Amino acid sequence: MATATAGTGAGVFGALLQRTIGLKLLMAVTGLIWVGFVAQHMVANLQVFMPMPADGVHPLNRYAAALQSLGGLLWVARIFLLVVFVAHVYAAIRLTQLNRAARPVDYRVRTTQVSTFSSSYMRVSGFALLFFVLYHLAHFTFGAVDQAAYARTLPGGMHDVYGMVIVGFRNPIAAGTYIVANVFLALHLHHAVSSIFQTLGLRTPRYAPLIDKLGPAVGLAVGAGNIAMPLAILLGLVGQGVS
Amino acid sequence: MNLTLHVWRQADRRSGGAFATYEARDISEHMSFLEMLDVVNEGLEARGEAPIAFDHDCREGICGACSLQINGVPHGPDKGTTTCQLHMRSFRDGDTLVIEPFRAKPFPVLRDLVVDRGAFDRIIEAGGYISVRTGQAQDANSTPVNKQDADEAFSYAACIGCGACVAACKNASASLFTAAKISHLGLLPQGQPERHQRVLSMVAQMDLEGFGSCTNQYECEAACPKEISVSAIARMNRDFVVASLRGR
Repeated sequence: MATATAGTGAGVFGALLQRTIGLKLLMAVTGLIWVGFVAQHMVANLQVFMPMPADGVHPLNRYAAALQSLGGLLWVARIFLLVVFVAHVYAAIRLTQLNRAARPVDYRVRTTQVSTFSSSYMRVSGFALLFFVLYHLAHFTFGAVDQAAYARTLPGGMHDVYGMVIVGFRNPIAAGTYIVANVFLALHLHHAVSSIFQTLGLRTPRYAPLIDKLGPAVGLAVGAGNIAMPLAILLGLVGQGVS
Repeated sequence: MNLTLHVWRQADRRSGGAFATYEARDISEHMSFLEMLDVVNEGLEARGEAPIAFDHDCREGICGACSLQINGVPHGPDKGTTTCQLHMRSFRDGDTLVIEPFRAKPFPVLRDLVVDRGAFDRIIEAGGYISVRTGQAQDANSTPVNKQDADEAFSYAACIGCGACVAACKNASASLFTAAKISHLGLLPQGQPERHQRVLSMVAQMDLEGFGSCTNQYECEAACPKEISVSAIARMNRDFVVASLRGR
């Protein structure tokens, strides 16, 4: 019986992906997981604004060390996020192909009445984010952009993530890249978060007005939070003590 | 009033088409859009040219036959209005109008502005019906339906199947049409026995016809002459998930 159930589960998933709605559901669920990750990533990183404690170990470094101490679990999370990301991009590509095929001859004039700017440029913002994620990983996770900053350690041998971030964002090109990327992120979330509810069938008439405000609110909050960090560091408002 | 029209002309399904320009002279602002085209066609026929072919039937806004993409908007600029009920007072003297057929792969152009919307019929055939006996007219009263559900079902049942939702969508998605049909039956007790099979079959047919997917921009809702809410699409998606998990 257990085998039969497992088989059905895979069968249901496979059957779902045969349908445009199934691909949209994949898009929504994978998107939701990344919204969750991006939001907690932003909140956690806001620790960069906390003052340096007397012992010289910044809260951001403690947080980073705690994450590193997860070991194998951290890699499980990373691989999970990667798989989810790839699935999101796959759904986007497949749906785009199907959508383009659905209108082989385009209109000479097409006038939109209610489409938002963000919803019209999801592919543009999505592509921008794809490249930004690669740059971001190269920058802070793999240290390929600034190896000296990446190699910083505290006297106790602890990895100096705080110092790496401060030094990293003193570079106007790096800070500017993050700021621009987060405008794209805010735009992407502006449409995405409300859209998730509609695709999952949760946007009922009663809650529609609230749900339609949620996307813009989350986009603004995450974008503003993420932009505040490189901007404050670039302007020298944070991390003056780091050399 | 006088207008300049850029109209899509296409001899038949297989021919290529192109825009032709016509001057519409001495048009009364009280005419409907289709009556304006009738006047233009009389002029064309008098000159021995083929009249512009367009779909129309009741001219009362209830049959779903008329179509036309007018300056990029299905059924033209007026909200909740079919082309046949759109009046020339909605335009200004000297306006230039681009008139195109509804564009979608599943809606092939048959001639000029006439498209084949048979794909919608096949979606209905796939499951947009009920098989239970509903009895005589008075028997309807013996099946209680709460007011909210009745009203919502009726708002979806108002769909006339004109295809404006497909025409307005950047992906040529038939989600609003299919969802309206699924939801109008899915909200009523008579629609329950086949509810899950219905959503799976109709969604499968919608995809098979080659319509695109829903991007949640809600252009369909804005263009719908019956102002059907995209809440229908959320309901369809919900039913689709439940039906898929139940495996039927």
